[in-house]
Order: sequence, then C-alpha cells, then structure tokens
Amino acid sequence: MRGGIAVNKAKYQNKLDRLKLLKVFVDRRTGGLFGLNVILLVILGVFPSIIVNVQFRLFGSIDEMKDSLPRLLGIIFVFASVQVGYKAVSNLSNWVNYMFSERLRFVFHDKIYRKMQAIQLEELEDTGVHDLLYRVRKNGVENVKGALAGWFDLAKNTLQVVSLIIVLVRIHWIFALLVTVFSIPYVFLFQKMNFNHYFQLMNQSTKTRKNHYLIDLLTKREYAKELRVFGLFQYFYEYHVRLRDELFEETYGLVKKYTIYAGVISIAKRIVQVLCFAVGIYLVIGHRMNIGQYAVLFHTITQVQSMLLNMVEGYKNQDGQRYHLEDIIAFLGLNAELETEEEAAPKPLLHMEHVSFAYPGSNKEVLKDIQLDIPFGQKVAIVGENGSGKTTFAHLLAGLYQPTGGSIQVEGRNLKGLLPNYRREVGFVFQDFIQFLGTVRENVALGAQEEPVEADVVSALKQSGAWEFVERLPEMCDTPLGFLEKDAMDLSGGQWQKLAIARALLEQDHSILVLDECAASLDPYAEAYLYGQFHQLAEGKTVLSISHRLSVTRLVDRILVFHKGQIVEDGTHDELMEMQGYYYEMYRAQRKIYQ
Amino acid sequence: MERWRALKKIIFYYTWALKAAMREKRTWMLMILASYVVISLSPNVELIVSKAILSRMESQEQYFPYVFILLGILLLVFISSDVGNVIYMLFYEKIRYSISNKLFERVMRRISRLSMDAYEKTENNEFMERLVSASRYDLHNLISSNMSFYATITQTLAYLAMIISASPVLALPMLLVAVIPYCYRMNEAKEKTDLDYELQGAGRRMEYLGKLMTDGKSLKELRLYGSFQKVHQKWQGTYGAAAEKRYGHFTKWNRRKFLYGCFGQILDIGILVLFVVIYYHNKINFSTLFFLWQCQANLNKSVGWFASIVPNSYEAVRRIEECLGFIEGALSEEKAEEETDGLNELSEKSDDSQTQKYGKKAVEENFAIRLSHVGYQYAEGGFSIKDVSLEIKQNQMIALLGENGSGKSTLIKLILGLYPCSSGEIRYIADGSEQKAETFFGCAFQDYASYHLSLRENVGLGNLAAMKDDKKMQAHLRESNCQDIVNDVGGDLDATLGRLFDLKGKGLSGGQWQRLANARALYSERLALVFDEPTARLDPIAELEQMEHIRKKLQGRTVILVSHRIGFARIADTICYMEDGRILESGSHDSLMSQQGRYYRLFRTQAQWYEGRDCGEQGKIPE
Repeated sequence: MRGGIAVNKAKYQNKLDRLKLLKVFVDRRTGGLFGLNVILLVILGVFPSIIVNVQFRLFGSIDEMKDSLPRLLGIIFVFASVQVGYKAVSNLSNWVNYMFSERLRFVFHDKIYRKMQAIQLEELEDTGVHDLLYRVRKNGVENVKGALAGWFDLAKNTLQVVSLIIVLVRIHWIFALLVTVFSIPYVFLFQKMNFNHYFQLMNQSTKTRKNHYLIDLLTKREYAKELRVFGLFQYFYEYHVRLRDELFEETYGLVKKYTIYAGVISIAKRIVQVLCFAVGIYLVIGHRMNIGQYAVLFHTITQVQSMLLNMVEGYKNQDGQRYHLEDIIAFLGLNAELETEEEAAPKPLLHMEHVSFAYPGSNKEVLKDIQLDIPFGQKVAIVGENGSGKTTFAHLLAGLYQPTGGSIQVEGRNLKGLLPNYRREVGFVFQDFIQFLGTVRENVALGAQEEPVEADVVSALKQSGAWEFVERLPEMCDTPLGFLEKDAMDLSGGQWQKLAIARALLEQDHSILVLDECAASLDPYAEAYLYGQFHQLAEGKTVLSISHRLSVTRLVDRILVFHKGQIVEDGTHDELMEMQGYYYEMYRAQRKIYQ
Repeated sequence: MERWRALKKIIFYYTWALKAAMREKRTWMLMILASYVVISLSPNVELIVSKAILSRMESQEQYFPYVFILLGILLLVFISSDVGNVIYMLFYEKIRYSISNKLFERVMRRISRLSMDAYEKTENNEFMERLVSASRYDLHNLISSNMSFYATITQTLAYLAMIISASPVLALPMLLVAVIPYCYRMNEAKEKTDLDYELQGAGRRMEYLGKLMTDGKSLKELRLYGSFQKVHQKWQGTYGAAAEKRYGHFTKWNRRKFLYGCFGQILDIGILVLFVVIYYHNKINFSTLFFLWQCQANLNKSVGWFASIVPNSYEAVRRIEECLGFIEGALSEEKAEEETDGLNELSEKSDDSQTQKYGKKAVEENFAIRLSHVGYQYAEGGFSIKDVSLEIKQNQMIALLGENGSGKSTLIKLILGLYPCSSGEIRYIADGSEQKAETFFGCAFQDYASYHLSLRENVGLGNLAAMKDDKKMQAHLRESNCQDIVNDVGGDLDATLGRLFDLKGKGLSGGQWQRLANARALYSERLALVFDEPTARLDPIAELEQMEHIRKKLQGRTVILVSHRIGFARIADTICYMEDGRILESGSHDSLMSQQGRYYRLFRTQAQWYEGRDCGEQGKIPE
C-alpha cells in the first residue's frame, strides 16, 4: 500500500538514508551547532589518550622526579589542567548537544506540521499513510535525534577508543591486538541482536498499540461510562494481561538468548584482559617496562575495555534508529497540494463535469459520473442513506478533495487551479467538527485565518443560537472548554454544535455554505431557531445542506437524492414526491411519526 | 535538609521494592543478591589483585607462581561476575515484570471503582495519566535502580575498608573528595521533578494540538478555514514556553555541574599530590601509592554512579507514592464506596445468576427504579437536577425530553449510578430485593464508544456471557439492521473493525458504528436499557427501522429513551418533559398533547416542518 512500509529485511541495508536525513535536517538552524559539536567531539576524542600519556609520564618517572621538584610540579600542573580542560570541554559539549537536540526537535516538528499544512487531504484516508503518520509522530523525534545527535557520542567514543589503542600499540602491539580481537565477536553479536530486536519490535508494534489502546479503554474518560454500565473492566483487563504476557514472553526469549551469548563473549574478553596483564608482567621482567608504566597499563586496559563496551552499546542503540528513518523520508515525500495565487470569482456558478471520486489506494468509486450545475445563490438539500456519497460530494465542492475523474468548474475555471484561495469562499459545518479545547472565542475564531473582531464573534454566536448559553458562562467568550485547562467547562453535544455553526458563520462573505448534519444534536427549539435564521444566513450564498432530517427540505429550492454514489433524483419537494421514488419513501417514513 | 528527606524517601521505597521482590520469589532473590554482590565487588577484587601483583614486582621477589596464581584468582572473579550478570539479567527481569504488574493491577482495580464525577476535573485526568505511567514504568525503573543502589553502597564500603587497611587516616578525605562534586545532584533532581509536574499540562496541550494538526478529520476543517496556522502558532507558543523553562533548568544545573566538577578535579589532583608526598616520605611503597590513586578514581566512579541513579529515582518515587496513596485512599470528589475486590468480576457473576435465575421469567416479576427527591449539583455551576421523583416500572418505555441543558443527560447518569446523588435517593428493586445500579443496565450513548476490536466484541461486550454464541449473535445482528456490516466483513465475526491496529481492519461510517452500539445494548439481557440519541447518525429509513426494532425488543424490559426526535418519543408509554432540572410534565403522548402544555409546544415545533407544504412558507414557533 502507498506510504506503508513493507517489513523487508534486505531493504534496510541502505546507509544512504542517513545522508538523506542529514541533508533534510541539518540546515541553517541546526548547521552551526552541528559543526561546533563535530569540532568538540574531535577534541574530546583525543583527550583520554592525552591523559593516559600524562599518567605514564607521571608514574613512569615518579622515582626520578623525587629530586627534581619543579619537574614534578610541572607534570602535576599539566595533569591538572588536562583534567580540568577535559571537564570544561565535556561540559561545553553537553550544552551544545542539548541545544542541538532541542533545535533538531523543533525543526522536526516544524517540518512535520508544514508538511501537514500542504499535504493532499485524500492521502490521509489511505490506511498505509495513516499508519505511517502514526509511527512518525510517535517515534520520529527520537529517531532523528538518535540518527544525528546520537552520532556525536558514538563518534566521540570511537575516537577515544582508537586513540587509546594507539597508545597501547606504542607500548607493545600485542596489547592493541588482544584488546581489539575480542571486540569483533561482540560487534557481530550486537549487530545480529539489534537486527532481530528491531524486527521483533516491528512485528509486535500492532500488539503493543493494541495494549496501549486497552489501557486507554480502562482509564480514559471517553470509555468510562460504558465500562461501568456494562461491567467491562474484567474483560479488558484480562485481554490486556494476555497481550502483555505474550509480548513479554517474546521479548524475554530474545533477551535470554542474547544475554547468554553476551555472557560467553564477556568471559572471552576477560581471558584476554588477564592475558594482557600476563604479557605486561613479562615485559616488566624483561626490563622493557618499569613498574610505574605497568601500573598505568593495567589501569588503561580496564578503561579501554569498558570504553569499547560503551562504544558497541552506543552503536547498537544508534543502529536501531536508522530502521525508522525510512518512515520519515517516506512521510516527507508524500504528495503535496499544488498551490497557486489564483482567486476564485465571487458568487460563482458551480459545474460538475462527469465527476467521479475514489479514495487513494481503493478502486471503489465513492462518486460516479456526477453531472450537475449549481447556479449561484441556490439553496440545495442533499439527502440519501449513509455511505451514498453525500459528504464526499460536499468535500469536492469545498475544494478539499480533487476528483479522480472529470472536473469541477467554478465560473468556467477548473477548481484545481484555484486552490487554496477558493476555500476562502466556503463555510462548512462538518459532521465531525472540531471541539476545540480552548476558549469559546478560539473555537469560533477557527473559522477565519485572521483574528476576528469581538463584534463578529458575538454576532456569529447569536446567529447560531450559541450566545444564549455563552453569555451565561463564567468568563463568557474567554471560558476554556474541555479537560485541558483547570476550570474548563464541559459542553453538551448541542452546545458544541452551535459553536461549530458559529464558526462557519464568522466570515460574512462566504459564497458557499455547506451544512453537514448541522442540526443533529440540536433540540427542537434550537433547530427551529436555526431554521428561522436560515433565510438570513443563507442570504447571498449558495447553500448545501446535508441532512437526515428532511424538515430542512422546506427551506430549500432544490433537493438532490444520492444513492450508491450517484444522484438519482433532482428536483423540488413537490416534483420528487410525485415521482414516488427514494425521496418519497424517506419523507413519508419521517412524516409518519409526527402524525 | 530537604534533600536528606528526599534521600530518605528514596531509600524507603528502594527497601519497599526489595521487600516486595523478596516476597515474590525468595530463593531467586537470594541468588540474585548473591550474584549482585559478586558483580559489585569485582572491581574491588581487581584492585586488590593489582596491588598485590605490583607490590610483588616492586619487592622483586619470586614472581612465579605467586603472580600467576593471583591472575588466576582475578580471572575467576571476573568470570563469576559475568555469570552473576547473566543470572541477574535473566531472573531479575522476570521478578521486575511480576512486581510492576501487581501494582498496575491494584491501580486499575481502583480506577475501575471511581465514580464518574472524578473524571470531571482536569487535575484528576492528569493525575490518572501519571498513575498509569507510575504503575507501568516507574516501578520497573525503581526496581532496577535499587539494585544499583545496593551495589554501589557495597562497593563504596568495600573501598573504604580497603583504604582503611592501607592507611586509615586517608579514608575520610578520600571519601569527601569523591562526594563533594555531587552535592548538587539531589536538588537538581527535585527541581527537575517539580518542573516535570508543572509542565505536564503543557505537554498534554501540545499533544492535543499536535493531534489536531495531524489527524485527517480535523486537518480538513483547518485547511478549509485556513486556520492551521493559528493552531500551529498556539503549539509553537506552548512549546516555546516549555522549552524555555527546560532550557533554564538545564543551563542552571549544567553550570553547577561544571563548577562542582572542576572543583572536584582540583581536589582530586590535590589528594594525588598528598599521596605522592607521602610516598616521597617513604611512608608507603609504590604499589600502595598506585593503589590509593586507583581507589580514589574508583570511589569517584562509584559515588558518581550513585549520584546519577539515586536522584533520578526521585521522580519515580513521587509518582509511586501518589499511586499508593490513590490505591489506599480516594480522590477528593469521590463519595465513599464499599470495598469490593474485583468488583466487576462479582457483577458479572451476579449478572449471570440473574439471567439464570430470572431469564425470561424475571421480566414478569416486579422490578422498579424509584427516584425520590433526587438532586444533583456539579461542583462549579453547570447543570443540576432539582427534586426529581419518578417511578420506572418494568416493561415500560420512558422518554425524557426537554431542551438542551434541561438536565436530561445528567438525570440519566444519576439513574445509571454513574454519579452519586447530592440529595435524595434512587433505589433499584428487583424480585423484591434491593439491587445495585451496576447490574441493572445496558446503554447506548450519544457519544457511543467504537471499539476497534472485533465485530463480535463490539456486540458481545453488551453481554459477555453470550460473546461466543455465534448463532445468537448472527441472528441478533440481522434483526438489528446490522447485516450490511456483517456482509462487509464477509460474515466473519472475528474480523477487526476500525483501523487503529489492523491495517486490514474494516473502517465503518458513523451510522454503522451507531447501529452497532444500539445492537450492543440490545444484546444484553439486562433489565433496563438506556438510549441517548440512538438515531442521530441514521438516515430516515434506518431511523424508523431502528426505533421499531427497539420497541419490538422490549420483551418485558424497560427502556429509557432520551432524544430530540420528538416524533419517536410518542411511542413511549410515559413521556417526561424536563426543564431546568425538574420534570414538569409527565404522561402519555395523547394525554400531554391534550394538555397543550410544554410538551405540546415541543412536539409542534418539530412537527410543523412536515405539514402543509406550500412553497416558500417559513416555519414559525407556535405560541
């Protein structure tokens, strides 16, 4: 599926991805820090070997310096300054690393959100893309940070180890050989373990997400009511425990295997270490080394071994990140909308020329061959059963999706070439409108690009019928809603819906107004109030009203009946009633209950 | 002295964790502790051996076989340490897993007993987030850290012992030199924890705004109105403020770390000079000099390790403390409830026994729900219920109607037992005895839950006992107008619905989810069902079918219906009109219509749209 990643082992050998990522994320915002950190890590990389050299000098000639105090003081001073210098540079590097990570995190989010601003909306309906987005959102920052910032540590460790090994070589090549030899199996082992660990994670990811979902079901507010009424706690809890235990067994199995391997290799490493000590003693016996030097050697070998371990561990952690990099690159490569500066004509005639639409990744056409004219200012009701394509139709006319077949003309010009400015002409009350967890004002203000004037906000609230409850709220338009802020108010379904309607009415000069089930949560009086306002708020606009409540058809000039992606009936209420078709059946079914 | 208290608290919880582990698997833990002692003392042994070898070489006595025996011992110690490490990793992992799970279970059970009004406060929702984190991760981390804690204490004490054996007078100065560079750590950890708590709200806000900007549904709306930028700016603002605070914290402590660290290095060099001076005065030999210097270095490392692990446990400890407090006590709003272990376990059992005992017969028995002078007040304004008295009998359909804000939804929640009444009482009586609200009801809410699990579960969660009954479920789905969903998944009841986890899961429309939610409620064999706007998402024909279906499926049960679709209310036996928290009118459709009161007005307001269809006639609200 498009955007989705097939878990294919061979695919992940590509190291070029790291370079691609470097190009994307190291820009003028992060480049400076990146460069600085590289310099610092080179310095830090050679410090330990310098320190070891000074130690050799100090302890190797400690007896000779007994008489020459200045020389001793000199070395002590050098030792002190090197140590303090190391600390200082280390600290500076910490700070630079932190800044770099933070900057990177910011840039990452920035890129994600900019992409979301431009992405083609249809893409988000593709399950592969949906999944990709989830992964990128969840792991993305850590992966990019790991891929870039984490490399600093790794490079530093490598440099340190290499420089120390050079020091060892200068004493006797055999030490360097012995020390590096044991690490080769370690590296291979960790590579393999990491590979398998990653694939286990990928394969487990669905189960892990489901596990989190189950915990949400057990603890989150949205599910709390049904959980208590139906008594579902035990069921979900046991489900969670089953999954969790399964996940643990799988992970533990892998951990067990590799812990034992690692243990065996560690024993080998220790044997090598002791061998080094033995060789050292041999050299001392042969007067090739004095005791002081031997002591430092003993100390250094232990140090090198633990540094090597850190390096391999670091490498293991880093390596894991790169497998997720493909996600980020795939995400950034998703199709963006084509934007122009073109403006749509106000008060347009809308024409649909053999328009059809299918979601990306699906063959099933949700709309088939729609041929239609909507003159400006017409009030249209759109009815039909669920899944007949009504909402998709409205989305196309609002310029949110593009037809996969045919075209939509706005005053004779193709809608595709008029984005994104065309959308400024459209007000839309969505079926799943955003219940914005901010203040009342912010909720309404979502309906315009610029900050609205207070008068406009109040006027929109009055028109939708929301003002009545808003003016009774503790802080009126500044009252926070939802459960993010302290003292936030929770609203009922109907109240939220009125806010969503106000949002669509904020801009007075829309040419087109789409109402998708905008009265679904309203009580009869609020509904009647809205219908009463209809004439006023529909003034000078083309209005499309999608509704299951056929009462709305009283207010409109024209009714379109959708069935399985096509318009099967088109006319006034009286015309369609005479036809005795779909509309007739639906209307009668509803009227019956009121008689 | 704050930091001493914090340290004491941390050590307390480390011990608590250790005791929990010992209770869990005694023999394993003894083995693990033994291994860990070996692991922690291995550097000490290494140091002793190296000193012995060096002193041998210095005194130029016979090397063989002494030195090589020493090397042999060293190798043995190393190998045991590695073996110990393997044992530790393998066994401790399992113990850790088991203990954290126990804590998690206790937290979950406690949460399941919270009454709904606990969810109404933001602080509680944040608190619960922390609880889940505490029981899942913090205990896990704590249990790892406590082992390191004991290890470093062992190591440090061993080093001190070794130093005292070489030169007693140096023990204290060396310890001070090791400790001084890390004095700031505890305060740093406390400040970090405070900062994390403070920024939790900001974190949630950013998470929320981030979701708005990346979710298909909300993105559409933002794109249409061009208000994406606004949301993005809000996110950036919150992010910027939080990042600045964190940066402030980081730089403050990084600077301190630097100063303390440099000071520590100077002390280190100072004490090295001291060692060299003592050496030059022939008070100690070279191997002892080197030994002391290495001891200092290792001591520094030990203390450093301690200073990095222990303060970092502070945050985990605070959350676990909250956790344990929560399990024992109650959240502020909650009214005391009886302690029942595995509450829903019991209710499931009693539900089963009810159906067994009652089954078809039960619904002919007398059961009733009696509300007497019930009142409810939200903490801060909002809705309230004022003095409602009502009797709901079996085999009855009651419709609750009224404007938005009249208190219908709140009354429903009180009846369901989700909120405790502020005044008055509600009694649930079946078969002559008092019952609990939990076992009585099934429900389908306006904000129904869509479970992204299997089709079977979506329906079967209404009646866990009948979850596996294929035939019954298939018949039920057919009758409840859900056959289209069944066909969409090829008749496979175990097919996944919703696409949260399974890319091949079947995405459903709002109407389909709603019909499933209704089917779920009807599948249960509970005595009373509550429907809150069960047809909001359905087209006219489906709506009619659904309402007729609900009426048909009554079968002696009681249904409480809340709906704005007044036309359906008329099929109810009793209609209650609510306004401002009270029931003002009550009776059948015909009787209320003849009264020409509020219900009449409400009904006419909706009915008028379907009458006398002259073109262009506008609706007016009748007087």
